[in-house]
Amino acid sequence: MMDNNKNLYFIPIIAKAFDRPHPDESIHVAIDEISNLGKLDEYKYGYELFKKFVEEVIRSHAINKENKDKVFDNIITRILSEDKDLSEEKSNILNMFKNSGMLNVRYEKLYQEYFKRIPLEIELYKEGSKVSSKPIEKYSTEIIFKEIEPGHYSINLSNGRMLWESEITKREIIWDDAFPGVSYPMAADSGEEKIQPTISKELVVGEIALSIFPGLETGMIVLKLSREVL
Amino acid sequence: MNDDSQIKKLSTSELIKNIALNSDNISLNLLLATRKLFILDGKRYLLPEYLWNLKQRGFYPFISISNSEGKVDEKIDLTYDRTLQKFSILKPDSSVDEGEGPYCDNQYKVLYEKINELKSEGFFTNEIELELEIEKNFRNMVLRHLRYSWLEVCRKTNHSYHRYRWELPDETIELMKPRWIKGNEFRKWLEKNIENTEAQRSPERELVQKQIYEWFGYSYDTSMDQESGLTNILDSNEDPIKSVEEEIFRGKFFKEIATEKSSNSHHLRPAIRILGKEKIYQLVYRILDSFGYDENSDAKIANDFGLSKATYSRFAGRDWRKGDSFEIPDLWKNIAHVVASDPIFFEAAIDYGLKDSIEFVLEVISKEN
Repeated sequence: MMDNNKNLYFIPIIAKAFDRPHPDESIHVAIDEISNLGKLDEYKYGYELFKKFVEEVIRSHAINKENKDKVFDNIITRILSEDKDLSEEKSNILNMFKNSGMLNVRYEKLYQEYFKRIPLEIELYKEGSKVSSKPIEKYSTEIIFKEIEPGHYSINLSNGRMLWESEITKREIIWDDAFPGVSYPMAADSGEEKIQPTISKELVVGEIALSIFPGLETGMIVLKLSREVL
Repeated sequence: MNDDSQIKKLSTSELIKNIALNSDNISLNLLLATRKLFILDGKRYLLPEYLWNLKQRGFYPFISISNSEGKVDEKIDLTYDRTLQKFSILKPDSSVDEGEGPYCDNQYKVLYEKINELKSEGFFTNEIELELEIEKNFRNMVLRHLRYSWLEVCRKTNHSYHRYRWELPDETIELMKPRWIKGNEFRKWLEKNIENTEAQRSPERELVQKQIYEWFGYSYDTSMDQESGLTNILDSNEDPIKSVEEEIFRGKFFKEIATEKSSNSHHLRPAIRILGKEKIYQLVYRILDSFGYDENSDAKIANDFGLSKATYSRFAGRDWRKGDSFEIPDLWKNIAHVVASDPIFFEAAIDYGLKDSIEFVLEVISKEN
């Protein structure tokens, strides 16, 4: 004769877990216990009923708007915060979200809020204060900061890494101080490319090089990005 | 590294290398105080700022908190502290016990290994791209540890321990057991987690106890010596059935179900509703109670409450088959709904069988819409 108490063996286990002072942990333990017992012949049928019970829990939970959001948020964030490339299975799950209009809105919101990469920027600091910042865009090969006046400058990546720091004097940025007695080449004559930099330095080997050019009244900092960064 | 301006120019990868290989505090401080590697709402933050902002959101959606979890604010604070500590305090020296931590050494070693892995795969020969990839891996590691910290904080709030005798075939080992866990469950945990005990040797006992503390949290307010005079000693011969019974009889969960069912009798089938509030409470409680000791008691309960077999079966039958399909009787369905009102069970179920559960959720949602 079938022992009917074993059919619902999971009910007291769940009840016990909810009675614990720390259900977060005990419920995981309870599900583990239910699952392990479910492997035994005498609990196999009961385990089938447990799965039906879980479906009812999911149905009941998921139709509640507030819960639904929490559940999806939790699932999405767990998947998105995995290090490795997503398995086909998890990619499929994400695609299911993306292809469902309402869920895609939720997915996008979380992605934008917590997981979206933002490009690094090159930041220019003068006397410790940020005076300009420009993103390193995918195809940019050059970043230019104009109207540079004498002072203490630093160039940082927006993640806080310093690339360069120095005092810039008139000798680096004012033409007459940099090249006394030499006429400033007019663009019509030669183009600005003829102007020699007063400082040239590689900031990230093989990737970012700095040049400082003098002008008539102010100078210019040019960063050459020698390959596509980002 | 003495030159302050040189160290500021180190890449994130180099800083992590210094921390992982040389336990370099200067690199660690620089990383924490100047590197904005963490992104929230499109803005960059330092690690402490990032965690602080997540804390202001109750760490949602990265940790799930049961509705019945107590002292939530305090636990959130402790989770913040603990997670930050896991990335900001180096182990003073190798003789210091890990249990006095947590320390950040291991986290940076794992991160350093991950960076080497990324480099060896050859995808990130570009240093700027590598910076961005490290940000992603660092963030994911922090989020993982945030979840761990939450569970650890929950465990560590259980300060109270009993003296417990673990009886093995040839010997008995005396240990401290968290008060909240039943003896039979604790014994199962020991059997699953502790191997090759040579318990009579004191150092071995200490090792076992250390593993217990690491899992269940440290006993800050008791010690074996302090507890040794207490009379409430539990032993491993505690009758497991009896302890389950006690749990069920005293369980607030079943009482809640019985109260809820009797208070909302208007939702019940007429044949049950007619019993009236008080009798419905007794009926439900009797059914749930019967799990503890009374097998196959359905017929007797039905008879005692004057219910037909069919009515009882629809209300609380224990075999849910109906032809080729299943139909969950009202009481069990109601328990499912009570369980569903707490996100923690739902999420545990999702964790347990991710894909099937998610597909089922989507199926439900699409039907609802």
